[in-house]
Amino acid sequence: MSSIINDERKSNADRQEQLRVSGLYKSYGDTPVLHGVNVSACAGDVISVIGSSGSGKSTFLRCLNLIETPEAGEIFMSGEKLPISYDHKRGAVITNKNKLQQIRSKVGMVFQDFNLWPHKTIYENLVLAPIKVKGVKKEVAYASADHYLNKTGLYEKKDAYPGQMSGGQQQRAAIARALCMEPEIILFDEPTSSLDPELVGEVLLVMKALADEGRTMIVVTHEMAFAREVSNRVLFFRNGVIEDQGPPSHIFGENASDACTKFVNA
Amino acid sequence: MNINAIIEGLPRFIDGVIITVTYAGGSLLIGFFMAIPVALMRSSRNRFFYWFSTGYVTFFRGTPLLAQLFLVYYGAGQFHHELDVIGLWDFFREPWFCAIFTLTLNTTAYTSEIWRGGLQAIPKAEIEAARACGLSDFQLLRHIMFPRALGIGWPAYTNEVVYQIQATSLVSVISVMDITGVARSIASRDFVYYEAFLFAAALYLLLVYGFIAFSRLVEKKLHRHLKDTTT
Repeated sequence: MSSIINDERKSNADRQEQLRVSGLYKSYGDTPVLHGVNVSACAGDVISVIGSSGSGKSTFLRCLNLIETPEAGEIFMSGEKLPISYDHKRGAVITNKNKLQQIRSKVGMVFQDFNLWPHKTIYENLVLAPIKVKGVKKEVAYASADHYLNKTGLYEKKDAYPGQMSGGQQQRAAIARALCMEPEIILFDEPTSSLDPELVGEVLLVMKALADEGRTMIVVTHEMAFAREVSNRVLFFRNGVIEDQGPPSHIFGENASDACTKFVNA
Repeated sequence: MNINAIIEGLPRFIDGVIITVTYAGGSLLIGFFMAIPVALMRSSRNRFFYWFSTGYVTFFRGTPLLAQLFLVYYGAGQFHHELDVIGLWDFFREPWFCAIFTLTLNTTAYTSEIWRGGLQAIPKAEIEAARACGLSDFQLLRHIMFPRALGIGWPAYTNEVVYQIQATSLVSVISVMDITGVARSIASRDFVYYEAFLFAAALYLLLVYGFIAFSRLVEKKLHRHLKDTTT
């Protein structure tokens, strides 16, 4: 069933390009983290990013909205180049803050530790950025929050504070927060890694529903079942490069690289 | 015990309370907001901002308030002519101005450190989440960082207010008639030191615990998100 969806996605060749990354480099001190990463993604792609800890997959994801600044490389998001330039002396420089903020408002992000704002209710967490960043009218922002809270099954929690909810609920709220911005692409940074095992399922279910809607998603994950069944493409990171990539049938099949096969079967 | 001297002096004591509350309240109010840019400068990468704010905070936290008060009140007299030229002598000749001026600079230094601590204690991840949503630097400060820092720093700030209320008693030595000033005057006129200062102490106690009760209410509001939390 899921492979049919994957093939449909793949065959649809003339979809709009949503993301393009070329020559991404990053190091922490003397330790290289990203060593020339090139990726592109089209609208509707669900890309899983896998690899062992320290392989650079999270850093890669965090570079896509410049939460982390790379040392070289170009990133295009929905056709717009991220405003960063590289100066020999000063390192990476954001050349246009307004532009960056505007692009970020179109890119949703979901974090490993949810990162909801603890002093605000779930409602307030959801409407802050739409109202302040996108200038959406209050009524519209709250209606949209209601919609996504219903969708993530959290409507009755709208007046709760994040600290009063379980991890799974917080992560679903964080996903709702990202959705309220009506993003063109959503980045997930190990969204289930901080959750108790029995709470992982509820979050994956929400993510699967988003994938089925045709949303563009890039998901750094350790959930092999998700990578295999929900995504249409998988990137395998190793030592700061994409060592292997392709549809799940390739990554989980016999022709994947040795390291990749070893990793997914571990 | 000479209660009559106190009863007679009651109107003067009430004036003293008004002065104490005005000086403490005024300096705290101005200092609360002035401390914000100082705290931001202290965390700034700009060298001038950093050293300017650090020098300021070091001086006002590292020296006695009484010495600062003398420095401003008596020290200004030495620059009488210079201050006259720029039109500030009319202020610096007045004890009330020197008192509020010094109290404000002093509390600003302490409060800026409370702000700085609060701002630094915010988990980086919460700030990242705000940036990822596209919030501007100002929006980030206004909607995420200041409210969070206020919640974190409020218990420490309550302490600062309590100290400041008591510290205002020093202004009596430059002839300001605050609670302590009135007590000194009544005590020496009628030789009722014990009664006058005991009554003055009771007034400070009332002010301090009045504020602490108020502060508890504020804290409840600031920390309402911590109610019924699982962790």
